[in-house]
Amino acid sequence: MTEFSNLTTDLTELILSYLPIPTLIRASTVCKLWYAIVSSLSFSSTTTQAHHHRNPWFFLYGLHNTSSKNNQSFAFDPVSNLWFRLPVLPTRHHQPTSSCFLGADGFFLTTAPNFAYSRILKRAWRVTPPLRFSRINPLLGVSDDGWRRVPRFIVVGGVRFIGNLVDIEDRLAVEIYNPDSDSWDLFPPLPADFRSGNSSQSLSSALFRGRFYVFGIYSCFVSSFDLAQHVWSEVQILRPPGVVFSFLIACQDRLVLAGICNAPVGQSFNLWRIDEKTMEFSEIAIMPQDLLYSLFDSDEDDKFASLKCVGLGNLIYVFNEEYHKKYPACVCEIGGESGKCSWRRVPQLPSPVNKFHQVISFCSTVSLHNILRGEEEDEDVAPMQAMAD
Amino acid sequence: MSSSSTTTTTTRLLMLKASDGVTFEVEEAVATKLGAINNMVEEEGSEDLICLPNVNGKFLGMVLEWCKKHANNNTNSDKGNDEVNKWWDKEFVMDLDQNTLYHLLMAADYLSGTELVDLLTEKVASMIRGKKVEEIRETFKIKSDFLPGQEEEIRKKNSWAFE
Repeated sequence: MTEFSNLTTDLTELILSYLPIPTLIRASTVCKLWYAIVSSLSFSSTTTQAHHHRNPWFFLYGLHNTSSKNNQSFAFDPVSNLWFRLPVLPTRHHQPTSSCFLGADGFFLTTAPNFAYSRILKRAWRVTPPLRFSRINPLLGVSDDGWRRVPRFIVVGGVRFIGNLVDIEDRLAVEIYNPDSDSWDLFPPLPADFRSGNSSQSLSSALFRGRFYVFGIYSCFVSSFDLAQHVWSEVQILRPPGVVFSFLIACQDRLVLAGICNAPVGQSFNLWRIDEKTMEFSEIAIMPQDLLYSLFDSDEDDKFASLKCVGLGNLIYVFNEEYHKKYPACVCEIGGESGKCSWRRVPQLPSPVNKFHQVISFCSTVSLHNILRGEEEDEDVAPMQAMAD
Repeated sequence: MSSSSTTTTTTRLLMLKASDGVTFEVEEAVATKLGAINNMVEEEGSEDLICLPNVNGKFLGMVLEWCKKHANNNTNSDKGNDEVNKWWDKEFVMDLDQNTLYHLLMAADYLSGTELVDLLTEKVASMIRGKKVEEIRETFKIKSDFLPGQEEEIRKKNSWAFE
């Protein structure tokens, strides 16, 4: 007779620790003991944390400008190598429009007209007091120092949003949400060098070792905001030879620059490791040419313009923001000690995939404890059907 | 048969006695891959016969077989050993039926064979992967003890993971 149900809690916990998150969510409904193990803080924070932090998920939220019922939300778990179709977020109070809706580690957020956040894989918006400077397309960082219920949100740059008008000249103060006082603190704005393009359309950002890095995708300007001292560093230029455009990414233990590069043999997609002290770069990988070309199929010179890149932990996701091939993506895993990079294609999104006006994409770690035991959903949230287009 | 109690050499032999009286003669270097036996040897020193009342002969034999393989492979300094061990581990767990797997895991846990426990728990995990909740319960003979509605509530909140 086999009685696996007689196993000790320690052994059961060890068995469950090998499983990917979606399997664990299913496993949590097997019996009370399994639920208690999987949803416990210790299982999330010690048993499986290192593994999950190395393997962040890739989120893709598609927005349709005129018909929000065509919005779709997807999440990719690299451990089970599967896409999941998530319910779209309720929109009664916080209609996500493309320019003020974004995602960052752990959260979906809107920045205007209200600042609101919802944990990923949850469907409850929570509103903070308004930003001092309401804005669209800002950069956003999530600084989660431990197990606070709400982290600090860092809002940088973006474009002033007054009524329905925008003011592109305004250099907006950095605002940081303080969850203890439930208020926003103001700090010096992005250095003036970024004035030509201070929104998330032309900047990428990376939160790394207590500093919020801002990097010009095309301009190659880089500066960092010290989260303890609240000052910006001197603006430097980070431009590897031949780079056309690139993104700055905070991986587990290193800053990485990832971008399209002109080489004698044609264009390639390269990764460089960045020394955050000197801003010196050293190449660590080049995406295999056939993989790069499998994401884009036109012969136009500017075919790579719709390439986007996000990353966290040990993973860097590269994908095509155009509907054309249904948003194809690939992922590069940067090996821990060796730094060896291996590339693979991400499976296709599960059909049907609508055509979106904009896709919000980001990487996030996923916490089982938050999924299973996190805060209850807000009462005032209406189901999706309540939305009239 | 065993060497004198004061000298500990790699060839010292230990006698292990299982619950059903079956005895195994194994090299100390092999048996001490098991934390529990290592502790007994260190504490009792001179004792050459170790009784293990919680493990029967069949499973003790299998555990020792695993120890022997790993002890032998580890003494060679060849780099390829990791690969050999992995390949051998894979073979070792491949055809285990559920009953054997369970008792082997209990034996390995009782004897504190950490690496073997890791190998076996990973094997059990592989039997959960890709299964529906009902199938998991059936496989492991677990009865749901949720109150009515509780299970549905967890399921409803995370319906995406159940599709």
